[in-house]
Amino acid sequence: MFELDSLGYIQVSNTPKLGQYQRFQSSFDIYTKGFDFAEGGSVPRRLKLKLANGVVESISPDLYRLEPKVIGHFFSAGLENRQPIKVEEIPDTMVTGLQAVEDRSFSEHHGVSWFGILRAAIKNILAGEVVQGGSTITQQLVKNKLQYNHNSLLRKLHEALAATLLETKLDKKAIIEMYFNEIYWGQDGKVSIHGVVEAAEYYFAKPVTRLSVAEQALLVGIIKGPSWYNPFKQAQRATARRNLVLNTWYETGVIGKNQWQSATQQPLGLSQHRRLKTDFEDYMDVVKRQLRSQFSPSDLKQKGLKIFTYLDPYIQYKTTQTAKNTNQWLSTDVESAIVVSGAQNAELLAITGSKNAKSHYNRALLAKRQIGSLIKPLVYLAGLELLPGFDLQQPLNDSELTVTTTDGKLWQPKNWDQQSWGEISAERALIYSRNQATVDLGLKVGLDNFIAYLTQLGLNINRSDHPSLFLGAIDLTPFEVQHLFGLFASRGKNQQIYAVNYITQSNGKLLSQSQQVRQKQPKTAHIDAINRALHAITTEGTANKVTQKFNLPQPMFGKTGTTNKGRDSWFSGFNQELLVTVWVGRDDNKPTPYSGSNGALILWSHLFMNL
Amino acid sequence: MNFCLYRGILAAILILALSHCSQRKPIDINDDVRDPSDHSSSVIQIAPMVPEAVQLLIKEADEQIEQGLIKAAVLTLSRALSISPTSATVHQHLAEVYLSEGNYQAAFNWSNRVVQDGPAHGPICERARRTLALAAEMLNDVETQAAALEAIDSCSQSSAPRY
Repeated sequence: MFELDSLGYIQVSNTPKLGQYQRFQSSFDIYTKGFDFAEGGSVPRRLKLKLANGVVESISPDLYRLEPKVIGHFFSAGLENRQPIKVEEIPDTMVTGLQAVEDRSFSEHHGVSWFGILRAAIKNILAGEVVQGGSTITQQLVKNKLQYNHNSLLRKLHEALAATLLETKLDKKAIIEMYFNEIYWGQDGKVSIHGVVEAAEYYFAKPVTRLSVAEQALLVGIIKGPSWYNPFKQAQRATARRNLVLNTWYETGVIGKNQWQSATQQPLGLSQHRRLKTDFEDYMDVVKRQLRSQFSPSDLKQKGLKIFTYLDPYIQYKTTQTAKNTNQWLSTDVESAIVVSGAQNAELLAITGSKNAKSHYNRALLAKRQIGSLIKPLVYLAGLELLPGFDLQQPLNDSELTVTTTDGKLWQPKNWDQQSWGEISAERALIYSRNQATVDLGLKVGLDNFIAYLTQLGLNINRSDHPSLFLGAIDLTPFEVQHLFGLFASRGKNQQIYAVNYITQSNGKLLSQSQQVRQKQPKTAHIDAINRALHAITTEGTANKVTQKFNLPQPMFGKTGTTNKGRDSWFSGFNQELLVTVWVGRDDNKPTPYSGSNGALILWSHLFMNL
Repeated sequence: MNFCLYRGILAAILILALSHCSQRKPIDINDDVRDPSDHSSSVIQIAPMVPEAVQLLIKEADEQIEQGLIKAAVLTLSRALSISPTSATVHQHLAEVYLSEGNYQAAFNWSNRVVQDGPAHGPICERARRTLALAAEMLNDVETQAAALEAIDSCSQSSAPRY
């Protein structure tokens, strides 16, 4: 249901047509829209499926893919992605209707309508203010293309001259086609909506060819002032404007009486998927970054590229909702960031960089914070990989110790409970996150060896010569932490989390595909040993709330992390399907009352319960 | 000991024979990998279970390979991989499609993963080792090639002698 709604499918009570579905109890009859995937098209067809206990019980045909959800567009020069449409593909009512509303003498003038300017001038003088513009479609197009930032007589003259020149270069059909592909149609957050294809997608989640007369009229109507007539915010104003357009269309013969009567009675019918739109912005940040790092600039310069990602809209929605509920479970002072990927396949499924949709700071990708005890599984893994004969049953010393650092200072690590447990097994030290025992092991591995090992795993850290690195005195983003724990979740197979799956050209042909970069792989037996401890952490260790309070189905694996005075609260954990990293803390880095287990773990557990 | 030595010599002869071919014929995954493996007479045949959707996708990918649509087959198998990320059957099909595409490093990686984590008997076991040997050969990794060739026999469990 969620996916159908987000793709703009409309529920009907009779036999569904293209883009509609009928539901009867747990049975669905869907008429899909179809999509040309790079490996072969999914043709529009009826899809019948039945659910039982939340899972698909039967489906016909056996295998089918719905079209992907458009989560955003890139407009920069290197990532131009406007989808052109031919004027023949635009409904006639819209093409003639645009002229009826914006420029009735379009077919006759040469770029500038002097009569129109005169008429507008008289109306403006009579009204004592500017109530009507005299710009032709060609002038509007020029204005849109040249993006004037001031309003003056000189600008008007320049615009008129450019419009006249444009009319000598292009025929009327080309001008109107360009208009439909270029004109500004509104604002979606930081992204401008340009062109009828994007406008139809943004406001109605459907292709231009399937717009109803009422929808076409709304789109044509809001060109005059996309902010003023913003249908999402000013529904009444937008409805009045749409009906005014419909009246004009009826009066000028663009539509008949029946169409006019029916269209004016229609609700605006805006796509509800828009409210989820901002959910994808943080994901788009990752896409942008990975496009630049994984694909060649020459490939990305092509126009009309389609970028297919691993995003799961439902998981993204749940992730965003979990972050938004941070205040419900924790203090209002703290922020949160969450990253979700496939446990076994390194596919980035969702990411959110703030609890508030208004915050554009993507903490998941940009906020480098100390990771604290999250580093410990790597210290023990390094021990297994680098120390001959070491295993997690070997004893470590959880006792007071003093380390002289390279600058001659003395460093005395403490445990969180200010106690020392003496000789304990390495496994127990990891399960209960003992600092002194971990430093004992770290010193046996050696700081330089540990840093070199982390580098082999693909973690580029600034050179550190302080043994506090063994306790997580290193700044990483939640996204980087996700990479590290992907190593454990995939039993050593994955080291990079990917957002971009593949890219196709505008003709649908495959251009490039992401491929996992292989770096040093730890021994599977070593990863399994660490994972046994990560599992015990969720049943008896620092994250036992996962199973004892939240009763999440086992097996679960994970590690808490807390930095000095609760400045950072972390939990990174996984089951067979999903790996999730949660960070909680304050932007000003002030203390919080939260440890990993009573801060980040709370969000983590709620997310897992809701997926 | 003698048996190991014998197998080592056999593998070395095989490599020499292969490396003396001045021009290797193009790799055909049916001729070079699938057919010889499917004719295995092992009494233990392990065919890992995969969900129905994955079976359909693998079938679709095989059809795309037959039509020479290699890139499409890779994408189809990537879909299967999203559904069953640890399936040795999917990994092996990916290895084979990369092998036929000439992406030997990817073929090496995927088939090596099947050799490490996949079934120890049956056609997938044998196909993985044949793919790994061919990919290693193309990458001039003689050691891995020899080990993979040598390991093919281990995929077949002979029936116990009746007398």
